Amino acid sequence: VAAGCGYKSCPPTRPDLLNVHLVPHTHDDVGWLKTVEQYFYGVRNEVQHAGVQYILDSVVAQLVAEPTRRFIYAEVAFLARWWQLQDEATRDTVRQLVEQGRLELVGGGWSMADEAVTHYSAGLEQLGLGRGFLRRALGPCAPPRLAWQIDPFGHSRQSAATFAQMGYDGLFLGRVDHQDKAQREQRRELELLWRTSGSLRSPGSDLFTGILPNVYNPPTGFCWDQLCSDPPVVDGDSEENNVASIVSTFLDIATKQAEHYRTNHIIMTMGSDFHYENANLWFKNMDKLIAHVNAQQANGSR
Amino acid sequence: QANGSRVHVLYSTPSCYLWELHQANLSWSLKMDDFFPYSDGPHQFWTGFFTSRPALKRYERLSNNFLQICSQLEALAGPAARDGPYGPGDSS
Repeated sequence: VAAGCGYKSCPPTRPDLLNVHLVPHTHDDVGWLKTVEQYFYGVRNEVQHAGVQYILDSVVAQLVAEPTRRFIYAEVAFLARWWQLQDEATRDTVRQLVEQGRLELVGGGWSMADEAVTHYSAGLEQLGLGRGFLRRALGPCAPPRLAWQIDPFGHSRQSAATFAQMGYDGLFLGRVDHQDKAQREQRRELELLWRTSGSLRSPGSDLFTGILPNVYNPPTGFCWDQLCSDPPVVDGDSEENNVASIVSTFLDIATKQAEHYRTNHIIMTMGSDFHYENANLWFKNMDKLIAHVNAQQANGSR
Repeated sequence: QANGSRVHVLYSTPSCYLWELHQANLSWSLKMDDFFPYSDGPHQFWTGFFTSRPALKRYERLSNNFLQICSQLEALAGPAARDGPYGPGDSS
């Protein structure tokens, strides 16, 4: 179990190998096809199957069950709504998960704000509202160090400047122009330093920025939410046993992805819109994936 | 894979991933402009939403103006600002 929050709580990696960082997450729009209340309670699931209250319940239970598991959460509007409904014991559990870095808050705004039509001062208001709640309710470990803008349709330099000036260490993006992305993949420039201001001094206005491999979705074939239909990892004595093919497909995807990035670390976003309503599906299969893929290291290596 | 793989998979978070990139101590390319316009394929640019629902967009801008006025008046008035015709407010 991690020693403290922040970077001190990070899991050990292997400097001699390609490290694949699985990042379990749920993308919870603060209103879209349904209203905020409908999304929170899971009302009108015939419009879109989504209930954030169940997601948070389920994720907390799954994190408690296995200490190596991690989860990130972004939308404070939903988290604050859920927090009001919890008893003190649950709140203590959540505070502990945050302090140990097992539950990490990213972004930290009331919502994941748009960057095209928002006024910068309103952007500050909603960031202050979210971060203020996190600090008061969850303590000093909670306010994020990382901006998480995985779904906005384009990204503004002003928005990045706000994050830089608020002391964020980095920003991750899902949506950039498809031609831009193709070129950046070729040149291994999906990760860059964004000089966010023409008037403020560097490095105070510089922000590390990373473009995610697959918008914010899992790699093809590895979506284990109840909303997906990819096959689970079957590792028992069964005619359905698929460990060999799952492991080799995964190794193939990881190796190809690493060609677009510069270090021996890559990131995979394991989640999507309103995933983890039954978090056990995701975590049980990722537990097995990690075990079986890492077991391959033992069969000799350079 | 029969000869042993060179891949290590782990549960992580974006900030732990970022920490490892920081440890790599590389020099990254510099970006000075923005990421607009966004297009996810040929002949499809996400620029319509810059102007869609103009009434709602104006309503939000105006509301932010009102919010700033309310905040400033509340700061000037002190605790008295919490008392209104419908009872005490809960702003903090």
